[in-house]
Formats: sequence, C-alpha cells, structure tokens
Amino acid sequence: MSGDAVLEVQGLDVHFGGVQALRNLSFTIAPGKIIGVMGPNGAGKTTLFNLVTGVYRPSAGRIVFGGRPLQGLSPARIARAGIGRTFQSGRPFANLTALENVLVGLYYGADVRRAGATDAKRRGQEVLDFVGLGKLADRPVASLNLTERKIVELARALATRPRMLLLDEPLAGFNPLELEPAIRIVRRIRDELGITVMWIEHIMTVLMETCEHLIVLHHGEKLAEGTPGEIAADAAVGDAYFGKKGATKLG
Amino acid sequence: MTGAPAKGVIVALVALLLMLPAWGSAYAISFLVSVLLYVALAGSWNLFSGTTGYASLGQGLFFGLGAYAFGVSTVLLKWHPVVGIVLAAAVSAVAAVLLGLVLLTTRIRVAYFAIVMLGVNEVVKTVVANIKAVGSSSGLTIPPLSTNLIAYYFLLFLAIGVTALSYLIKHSRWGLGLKAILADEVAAEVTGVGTVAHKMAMFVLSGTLIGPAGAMIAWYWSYIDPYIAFDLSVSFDMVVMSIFGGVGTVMGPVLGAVIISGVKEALSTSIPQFHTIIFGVLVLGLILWCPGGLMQVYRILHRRITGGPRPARSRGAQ
Repeated sequence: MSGDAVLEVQGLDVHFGGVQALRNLSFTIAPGKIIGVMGPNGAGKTTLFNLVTGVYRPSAGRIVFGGRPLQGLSPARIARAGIGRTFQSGRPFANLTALENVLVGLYYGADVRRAGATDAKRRGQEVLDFVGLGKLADRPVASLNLTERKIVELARALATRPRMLLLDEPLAGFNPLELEPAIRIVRRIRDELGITVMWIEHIMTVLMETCEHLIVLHHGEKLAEGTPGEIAADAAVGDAYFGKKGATKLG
Repeated sequence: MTGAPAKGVIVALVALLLMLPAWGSAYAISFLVSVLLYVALAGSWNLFSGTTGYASLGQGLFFGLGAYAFGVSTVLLKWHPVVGIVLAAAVSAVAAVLLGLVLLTTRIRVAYFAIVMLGVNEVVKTVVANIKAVGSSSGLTIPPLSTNLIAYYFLLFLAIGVTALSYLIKHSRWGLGLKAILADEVAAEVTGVGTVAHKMAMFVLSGTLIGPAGAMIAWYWSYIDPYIAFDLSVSFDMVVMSIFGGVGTVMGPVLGAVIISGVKEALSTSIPQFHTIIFGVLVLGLILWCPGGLMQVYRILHRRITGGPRPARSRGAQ
C-alpha cells in the first residue's frame, strides 16, 4: 500500500525506561497534504517527531519515507533524505546570522549542489524573502525576537529542500497579530513548494481550519484520525480533551 | 583580524621570525621554541575543542604519544628522525581515531569527555612508566639535535600551518557546519550536518598535529620519560592559552600562547617562588572579566576606536 504515501508509520513503539511514550502507532501520510497532530500534553507528539527524524530510536515498528525505510539512519542522513523539522522552543543557531542559519541548511541539506558562495547567498536570501525575513538576513539571530527566531528556524529547515516538513508548535509564543502571517507561510510552503507538512499545534482552531487531515494522540496511542469535521464530532477526542465528567484540562 | 593592515602585520611578523636566527641569541631561540610550540599546541587544541565545544583536558596525550613514537623509532629501532616524526603523526592519528570512535560516536556529555580525556592521558602515562622496553619510568635518552634551529623552524612552520588551517576551516562551509554544532548539536543534525563526522575529523586533525610537536620536542630535549612526555601541564597549558586568547577564534590561541609564555618566562625568572600564583590570578582575572578572551578585548577596543555598531552578543563562542 506504499504506492503514493510519503510517510508510512507501522506499529511504532517507544519506551524510556518504564514509560511507554508511544504504543503501536500506525498511520500513512499522503503527499502534498497539511496534517495536524493533536493531543494533550504528554500525548507523544514531539516524541513522534523525534522518532521520524532519528533523534530517538524506536523500540519497535518501522518508519518508511518515500518508500525508503529510515531504520538506523542518523538524523543528518534523514534530513538529507528530505525530512526537515523545527523545534517546539525554536532552536536556530544563535551564534550565526539569519542568512548563515539558512546557509547551513543549503550546504548540508538534501540534493546538495556544489553552488558557488555567491549563488548560495542569493538562494539563501530567496528563502528568507519567502518567509518574509529578507531584511533581517545579516542580523545575528541572538538579536532577533522569539517570532523572528522561530521563522529563521523554519527558513533553515526549508533551505534543506525537504519533501516533508515537521513543524513542532511553530505558533507557540506568537501574539495574536502574528498568527495569521505565520499560518499563511505554512500554507504557501505546501501550495507553492509542494512540501507535505506535519504540524503539531495546541491552538485547535488553527489546525481545524488549515489541515486536511488530523491525527489525535492520547497517552501515546492514536485516539482518532480523520478530517477536521470527523475529529470535531469524535466523542473519544472530546473525552480526552475535556474529560468525561466535564472540563478538567484544556490542551 | 582581517583587512590589509592585519595582513601586512602578519607577513612582516613571519618574515621577522624566518630571519630571526641570523642575529637572535641562543636564549632567544630557546625561548621562541617554547613559544612556537605553544602556539602550535593551543592552535591544535582550538581546532577541535574550540570549534566543537568539546573541551579536551587531555589533548597532551598526543604530545606524549608523539614523543614516545619518536623516541622508540629513533633510539630502539634506529630509524631516521624524519621517519620518527612521520610515525609520531601516524601514531597520534590512529590513537585519535580509536579514541574518537569510543568517545565521539555516541552522544557523550561535554563534561564527561573532558574528564575522560584527562584520565586516558594518566592511564597511558602509567602504562608507559611500566613498560621496560621503553625505559619504564627512567625514560629514553635520544641523540640530540645538531642545531636547535631545526626545532625552531619545524615548530615555526607547524605553528603557521596550524593557524592557517584554522583560518581556512573557519571560513569554509565545513566551518559553518562546526559553528552550527557548537550552537546546538541536535539542531545541526536535523539540518543535515553529520555531527559525528565533523567532530571525528577535527579531533583526528588536532591529535595528528600535536603528535609531531611532541616528537620534535623529544628530539630537542634529547630525553623523555613518562612524566614529562605526558605531563598534565602540557594538556592544561593549551587549554588556558586558548581560553586566555579567545576560544574558537583564529588568532586567540596565538595571542594566548605568546603572552602566557612571555609572562610565565618573565615571572619565573624575576619571582621564581610565587610566579605560578601570580600567573593564576592573572588568568583568572581575565577569564572572569572577559570570558571571550583577548580577542573579545580586541573587538571591544576596535569598536570603541572605529565607532562601529555594537554586536548583539559580545561574548565569544561558548
């Protein structure tokens, strides 16, 4: 069934000591989609990203990307195979400028062509222009605000020319005015660059409005999967988020 | 330290050092041998530890291995000294590869790495001190150099080579990858930077450059024993000099080595009893006041004079 799936996860299990972080997780991602990953804190969302990018090793199960099993590959090899990611807290290289951050992605990412330094700088500038940070190219990242840093990190991931991008709460810490432009960037990444996006976010309305498909995790297991409409109507999801006897904790 | 004036200063300095033996005293030459040795050692330490953030407290291991490779090959095997120096590089390279495979292929904590390297140096020292074939703790006597100028020129070229290499790497794509690793190893990995390959390459390069320095000093001393070849102060001096000058910078280890060698020499001849205490206070003072080392002082002064914009982060690479 791996025909046109970009990512296939089968029977993924991971435990840290006695803690089972993910249990028998399976799903398939079709190319060109924006897929939301939801779930309360501790559901295993970031763990899933760490497994797909090779930062953690699964205890059992397999991950196949574009028909290629990722077992045993280092995170760097997986990045070069075409999976880019950002981190929840935003982890750009603080000792470099915005442009240099992007250059690391260009030099080390997928499909590295031995371009000249000026050509690389021009392409790096294009990536920064795409995310709207063109004017900040030469600014040290340490001097940027949280929003700008997270966008630089996104640009760095884009510069590796991924076929799939994993975004871990890209909007966390953004003020309400910054949300709409950032969401537009994610849409354009898929629409204009054709990159499949997996997106963890705690703002459910954003995922409901932007994603074609949602995966809901709870206690390390897949609770539900489907279109936003199906998820909204799912009783189990409501229970996981609000508890059976009323609201206990918002995601 | 870029731009035409800096280049002019460097060219003039190298020319001066090349011609210096024509009029320099024997004392000047022997002093400069130790300065150049430390420029090479601090620069080599910085090539790995300064670029990756993995501070090695036992990089002197390769100095000792080089010294012993040279001693064994020239005294016991009666090989030509040139072969001894090449062997010193080869032995250090192999040792660095083996150590690197153990220490750098897994995600070891930076602090553990520092201590493990220190421990390995001590273990090797003790092992060598118990091998009868290499003279146990009484060491080996090596036929001396015909002239100290051999050591002078060898270490001059090694010091220049290490510094040039450091400059070239810093300004290359590889250097950008190293800066990424220094900032955030996991983020570098997921951006496609092969962190193990980068760390291994720099570690092996650092060790391979330190080995021949040990070989040349063994020849220059015409005597080695485990306690001087694997002396921890060799390991510590290169760390202190690099930090003093500015970790991760090209010219920092050079400045640190020159100034600390000079201050040590001046203090040890003028106040032999207390020089280590005064020296310690000086180093501590600069590190507390200016963690980026002399290169940070230079940048601050340069900015004050030229009135350039303040960089957002004045601290050197941590």
